[in-house]
Amino acid sequence: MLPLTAGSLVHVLSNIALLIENLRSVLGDRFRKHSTRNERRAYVYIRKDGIRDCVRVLFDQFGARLSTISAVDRKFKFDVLYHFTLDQEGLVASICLSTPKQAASLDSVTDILPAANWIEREIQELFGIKFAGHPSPGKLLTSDDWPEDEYPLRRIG
Amino acid sequence: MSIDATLPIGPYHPALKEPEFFKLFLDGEKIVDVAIRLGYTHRGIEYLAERKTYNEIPILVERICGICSNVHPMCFCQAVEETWELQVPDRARYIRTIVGELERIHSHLLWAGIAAHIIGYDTLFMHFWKHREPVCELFEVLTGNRQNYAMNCIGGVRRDIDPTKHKALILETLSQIRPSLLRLKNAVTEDPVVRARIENIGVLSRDQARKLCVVGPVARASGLAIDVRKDEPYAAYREVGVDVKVLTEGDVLSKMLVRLLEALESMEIVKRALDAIPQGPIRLEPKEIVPGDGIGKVEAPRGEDIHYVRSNGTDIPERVKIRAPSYMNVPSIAPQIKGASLADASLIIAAVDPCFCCTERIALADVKTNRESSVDFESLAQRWRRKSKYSRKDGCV
Amino acid sequence: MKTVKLRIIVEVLRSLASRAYTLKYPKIASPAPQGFRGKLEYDIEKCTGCAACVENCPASALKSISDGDRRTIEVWYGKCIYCGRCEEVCPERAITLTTTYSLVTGRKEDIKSSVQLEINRCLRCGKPVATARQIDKVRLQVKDLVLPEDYDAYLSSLCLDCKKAVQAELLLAGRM
Repeated sequence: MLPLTAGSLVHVLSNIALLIENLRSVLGDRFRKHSTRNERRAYVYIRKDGIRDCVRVLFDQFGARLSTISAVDRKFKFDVLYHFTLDQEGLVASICLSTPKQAASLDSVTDILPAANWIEREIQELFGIKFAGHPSPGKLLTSDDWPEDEYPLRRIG
Repeated sequence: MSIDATLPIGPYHPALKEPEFFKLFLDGEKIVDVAIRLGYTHRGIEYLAERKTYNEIPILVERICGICSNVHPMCFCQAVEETWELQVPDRARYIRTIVGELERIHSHLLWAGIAAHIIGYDTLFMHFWKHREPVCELFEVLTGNRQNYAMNCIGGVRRDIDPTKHKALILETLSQIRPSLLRLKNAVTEDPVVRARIENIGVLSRDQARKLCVVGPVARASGLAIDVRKDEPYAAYREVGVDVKVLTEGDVLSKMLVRLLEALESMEIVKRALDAIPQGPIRLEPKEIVPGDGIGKVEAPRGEDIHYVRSNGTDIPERVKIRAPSYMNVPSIAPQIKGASLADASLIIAAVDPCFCCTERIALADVKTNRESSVDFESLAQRWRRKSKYSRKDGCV
Repeated sequence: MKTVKLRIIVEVLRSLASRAYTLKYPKIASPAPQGFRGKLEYDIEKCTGCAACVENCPASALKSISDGDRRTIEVWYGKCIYCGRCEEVCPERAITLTTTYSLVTGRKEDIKSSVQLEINRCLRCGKPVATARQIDKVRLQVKDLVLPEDYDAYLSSLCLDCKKAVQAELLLAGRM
């Protein structure tokens, strides 16, 4: 990793700690654990029903910006990671949650954060994870004659 | 407000590069709403990347976009280097910086030319592209191709910059285009007709920009001071430094100015990087494939590009998620275009720099009479140029 | 406005005075610079037929076909993406990407190009072993390292199974 000056490193680490504390207090027992891979990457594991409160804390309180949402097919479940960037600190906090593959569903955060609109639509279309409460869950990327329940990025078998 | 007519624009868009479909809902000449449809060039790159080895993927993702062709491989390599905990050699970091900044210059000049073409100012378009040509020829000498440079690999870069031949050539090319670029920037800002066409059009407020999480020059023109090169320095940006240009008006003029100022700043960054580049190896062979997650972020000419890679220890990645900058910027067209007049539609769409190339037939649907007609680009372009002509006649000059 | 009009006039005069920026290609040749990644060419003298290029081509433009006595390495220019990986991984530096960029042709034969190498068969059982060049290269590298020379030539021309069998025989006979 690139060498950091002592001042900036302390600043970033203290912000990670502050962020974790806030999330822990807001989520309660929906907060599972956290890990910091290096000074710039924090991974926070939560229960899936805590995502809306998490987004409120990050967007409203910390001024974070949603970079993207990644979904990973883990055979019997989906791992969904919400990557939030805190620009001033140069930190990416990824909120990780899972949903079982059968009847995969999550709460949409588009009403809190309009930027999530297309990102959630894309995941819905490519993985088949339903986002409850999404204002306009239509097709985005696949063609009009693509079959309804074929999800391109889902692993078969 | 009643909706008089709907005007579909696309999929082969009249102003720029890739196919997208815009349906404009009109009340007379004013746009009241827009519906955007994507997917015409969805090629399944993430699907392919789950079936290719780590060595093949930089060459695959390079072809996501011809203009941002350095950004995607660099971002992917950074994500993998973070997962495998690889330290890229210093000289390679500087070379990545130099190639990235040269790419920014050529991309912004390309965009500026297209924007000038839409306004109807073809001379300016030709001049911008003329001065972009030396940069492309420079890439041919440095990397072997005008686009698709194939410079980045996991662990460093594939070709070196020769300190005798290449350095002198880079400096000479930059000193040749710098005065021309300054002249062209003044031609944009000081010409009253051009200003009338692009000032106060397509305004994106700071609050809207934050809610839509826009990135790049679109965000910086609306007052959000975000730039990956400054916030999370990668490659050699920590050593070389970058001066981020931020404006607050949020209109098309601000977006154009931010890009032109950035192109000028990129020239300075390249010069600083060439002065400070250390000796040493340019490539490190990875020894071990470490399972885990990694995120790579790079400031593309259009904004923040982010790649997320999950490795499972084999030589094929588990998941590669790619989010190009235009994905966040294109939805911001909706708030910018509402209330604007039809003649400005194409310019507002283009100002977001949605990464493309082309123009085709456009369908017009008159909802009231249920008649459909199609016009070709030339006649629609005449409409935009007529507005410029009337601005001149109305006494703006 | 006067300054803008003046500037336009200056610009017009400047443009009239300088020559046209574009070249009338193809009437005028426009050669690519040194280092351009263009059409790939094989040096048949250097190629050993190891097929490292085939393994590493991301576009599957290179193919290796072995049919007993001959190995053919074929490149299909229509699929090639000029990335230069083959040039990078070839251990003999037998592949170069030349500066030829104009590959337009009316003849189907120009689309593919190939090199052919002779495959050696096992002296004991007749199975194909490897290309003659590969065997020669390995022999050169292990010369004098392992066995006395008269055994060397024979053993290196055997397939793996026969090699093991012969070595076992020699061991039992006390010759090793």
